[in-house]
Amino acid sequence: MNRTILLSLFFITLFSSCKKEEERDTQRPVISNALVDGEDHDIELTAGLDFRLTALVNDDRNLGQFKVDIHDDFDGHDHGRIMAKWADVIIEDISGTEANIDRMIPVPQDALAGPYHMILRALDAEGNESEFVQMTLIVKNGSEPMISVNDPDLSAEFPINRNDTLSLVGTVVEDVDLTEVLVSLRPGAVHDHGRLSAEVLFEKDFDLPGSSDTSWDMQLDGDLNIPIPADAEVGDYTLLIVAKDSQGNLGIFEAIIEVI
Amino acid sequence: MEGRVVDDSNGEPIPGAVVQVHPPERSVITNEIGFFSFTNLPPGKLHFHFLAPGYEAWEGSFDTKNANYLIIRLKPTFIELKEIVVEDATFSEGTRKSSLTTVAIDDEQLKDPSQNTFAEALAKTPGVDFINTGVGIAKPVIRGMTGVRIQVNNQGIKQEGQQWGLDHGLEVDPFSVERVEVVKGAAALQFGAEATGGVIRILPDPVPIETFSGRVSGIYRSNNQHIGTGLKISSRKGRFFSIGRFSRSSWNDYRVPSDEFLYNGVYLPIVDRTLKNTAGSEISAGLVTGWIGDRSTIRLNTSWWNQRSGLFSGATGIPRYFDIIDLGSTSDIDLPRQDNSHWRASLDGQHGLWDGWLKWDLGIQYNERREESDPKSHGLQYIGPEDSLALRLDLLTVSFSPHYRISRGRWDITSGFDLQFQNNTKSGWEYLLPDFKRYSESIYSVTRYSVNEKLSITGGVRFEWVQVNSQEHYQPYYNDPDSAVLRSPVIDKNWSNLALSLGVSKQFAQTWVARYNLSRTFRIPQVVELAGNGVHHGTFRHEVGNPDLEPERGWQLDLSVEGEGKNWFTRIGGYGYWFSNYIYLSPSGRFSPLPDAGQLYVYRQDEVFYMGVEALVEYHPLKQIHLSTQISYVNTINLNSGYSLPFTPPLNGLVSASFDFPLDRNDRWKGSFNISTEWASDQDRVDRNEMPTPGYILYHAGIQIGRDWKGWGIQLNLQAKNIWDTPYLKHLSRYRLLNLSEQGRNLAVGLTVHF
Repeated sequence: MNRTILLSLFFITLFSSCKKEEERDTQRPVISNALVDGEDHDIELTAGLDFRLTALVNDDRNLGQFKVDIHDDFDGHDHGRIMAKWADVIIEDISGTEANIDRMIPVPQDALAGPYHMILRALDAEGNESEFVQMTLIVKNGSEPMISVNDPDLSAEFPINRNDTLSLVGTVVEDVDLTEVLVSLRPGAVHDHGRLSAEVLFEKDFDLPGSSDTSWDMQLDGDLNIPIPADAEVGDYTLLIVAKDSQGNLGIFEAIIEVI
Repeated sequence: MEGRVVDDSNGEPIPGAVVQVHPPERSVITNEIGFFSFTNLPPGKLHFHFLAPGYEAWEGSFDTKNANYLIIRLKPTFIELKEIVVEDATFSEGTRKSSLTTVAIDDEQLKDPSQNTFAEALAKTPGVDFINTGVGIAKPVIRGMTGVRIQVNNQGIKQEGQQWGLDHGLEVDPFSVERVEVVKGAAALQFGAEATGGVIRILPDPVPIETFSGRVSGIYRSNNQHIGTGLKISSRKGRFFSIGRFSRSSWNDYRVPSDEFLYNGVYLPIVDRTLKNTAGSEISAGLVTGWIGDRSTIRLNTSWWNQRSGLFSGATGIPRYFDIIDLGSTSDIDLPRQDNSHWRASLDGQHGLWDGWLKWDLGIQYNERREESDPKSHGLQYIGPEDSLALRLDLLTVSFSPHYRISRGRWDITSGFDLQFQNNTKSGWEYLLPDFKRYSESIYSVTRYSVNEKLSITGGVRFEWVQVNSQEHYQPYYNDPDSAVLRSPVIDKNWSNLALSLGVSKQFAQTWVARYNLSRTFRIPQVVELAGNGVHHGTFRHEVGNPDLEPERGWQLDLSVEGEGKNWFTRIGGYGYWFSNYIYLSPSGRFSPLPDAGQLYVYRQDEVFYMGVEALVEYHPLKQIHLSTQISYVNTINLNSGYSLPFTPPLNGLVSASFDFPLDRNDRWKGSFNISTEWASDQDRVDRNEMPTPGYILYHAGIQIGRDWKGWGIQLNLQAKNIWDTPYLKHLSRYRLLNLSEQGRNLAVGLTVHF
């Protein structure tokens, strides 16, 4: 008899929990409206100047901290070390159920030109983490390679038929020495990380071993005539041209190509 | 000593029954009239096992001075589980008198070709789960506890690696394991204070009987083109024996039943439904040589194991579209990956000494863990692009554990001590934990008093002392190799504590056994819990130790009831554990000051309550039909905050049925067909910052065919796992964070030939 009572007590405690559901907080905070100088994409910054970061953070109970993490997205290779890559970590305490982030962040004078990632994260007071927000910042410092495509006009989304060839006429110009040009045509629009297909249409890396390459011609040096296969998937693709100089500065050119 | 083994129901002799006696380890097989004999057995109380297929295993102790002719009546059974002997590790006797639940893992479960890892095969036992990183890396969980709280006792010595880590996999070759027992609950007394969750006990291979025998096994799994082969050869010449084994496996990237996964609000593609860079390979070899005397047995056991296992390209750092879009080769093991090795040499002996037995294990283990990744993916510019060694940990463990066992009338006593020395060195450009030395010594004694045949009381005490010397470590801050940030302080500390346990085992009628066990347990903090400080690049967690942690203390109550009849078997267990200061890793609500790192996770101590039940029912309406159902439930509560503990397994169960069919009239060929359903409910009892996980139901089926000739046999096993290719998330999976489904449909074939 005693044993039965003991056992029942044991199983009753087993299925009851000690703290009420509503006291627990497993809801994550949310970051929204993250803007750099009012923009959420195509962000260009200049070395030596400040930019303004604004964002809204919400939580159901009580916020904790906000973190800004800036690091380069240069893809590894690192030649000259004359200038430094820019990296920054900013942590800010926040509280309440809503916080307006609004701060000026300096881009260092000696930042290498090129693409950087800025990752924004938020925590609530209990330690629940928001999904992060990632923004691409393109830094220019005046000495990066200049990329211009003269034909076709890629200032707006450029449509092209399957089976056609995308012929690029243009130049890359640099004041000291160009070391590398990378060209790729990949599925998806850069700013639309929706559901993406898997086909890379073109990818080529041109090494310029000379010590005073100051210009590179897309037709003469690169033969950039990119055939669009007949069976290519229809949709948006990103044309990305990256040029690197001997100091490590990256010049970036991006355009959207729509395969129809 | 001689005797006969007969069928209890009709008195017919049982030929081919195995009769084992220990210590020393000796065995013989009965002849056509069920007769067996041993010569030169040492005098005194010896423990005998009698095993025959289709009969309940029988074990018991006899004093060779009083008994020299035995007639053993074995009861026919339909229940395979009853055909194997399960032994209490403390007294090396059957578990009838044991106050803790010990479960034998049957051979069918271990050899199921559809189980990717040894840990996964164990998880078909109620109360046992596993934490996995993909298909190659997995570690056991017992009653929601894992890591250092579970001891893996591999053939007498405590296996040591980086078991405190979540993406650590057990360094055990699945082909090498033949007999396993799982002790559920606080098994701290004999196994060591840390074993508060339980013990996975891999038993040494039996001493071979014949002069030469062997086994060749092959496995193929369709999902990831996994090919594995294992070879085992045993030989015995007089008093000497040796067992050699070799195995090798390799697998390609595995497939999941999904075209995409949702990470941070973005759907990313899974090209060809294949997880890039999840291929791996494993190789292992071992040699046991031994000598059997009349009153002594000595074994030298050496082994080597290596595993290279790729990690999904999206699982370290932020999964990037451009990293995973190009599937590349599905068979190469690219970065990021783990490359881990484990070497072992141990010498074990058993000697009859006075009226008892002295058993000792002297072991040396060397564990090398290499975590390799591309330095540029961590933004480290000062590291050469070829230097992919992110973290290497070299752990040397030397252990010596003798104990002496003696029986006097109703009393059985086992006393012993354990010495262990560990030396850890780290290298690589990442940092997680410091170089350290850890020295522990403990002394214990366990006593059992058998009030009568049906009631036994077991109690014991263990005293443990631990010394830790860990060095301070400075690590460069991000990209500045000249900077230095203190990541771990010097720790030079020692702790000591006392564990106690009292248990009762009571048999009711012939059918039921009830066990109660109450333990006061403690656990000395691990070095990683005291001084760890590093970013986990899969989760962005910056995990930080706390040098001020106190030894964890708790009271653990385990209850279980076991019942059996000719065609049914049931085991129900319940437990309640209370820890005054349970150590675990928890979010701090503060960010890491390091670049590219998320939240600080700190080791903290809280008052915690664990409780749960597990139940297994087996029923055989006919000899040919096996029905089984089981359920496991565990609930954890942090009494200070009200949250659950992280990685608490969901309510889960398994329902299975199998049907034996004859293939020829003489019953020489045997076949069986099995189907099973594995389910888990939603898990929404989570810690802060832990995602709830939806439940799932999976269906499996298979067929087995086998035949035994005199001296050799063949087994073919075909298993289909996750038949309907159901996408599901597993709460205890490292890839849960990425919302990545676990492995899809898998057809597995296993072929074993023994000779």
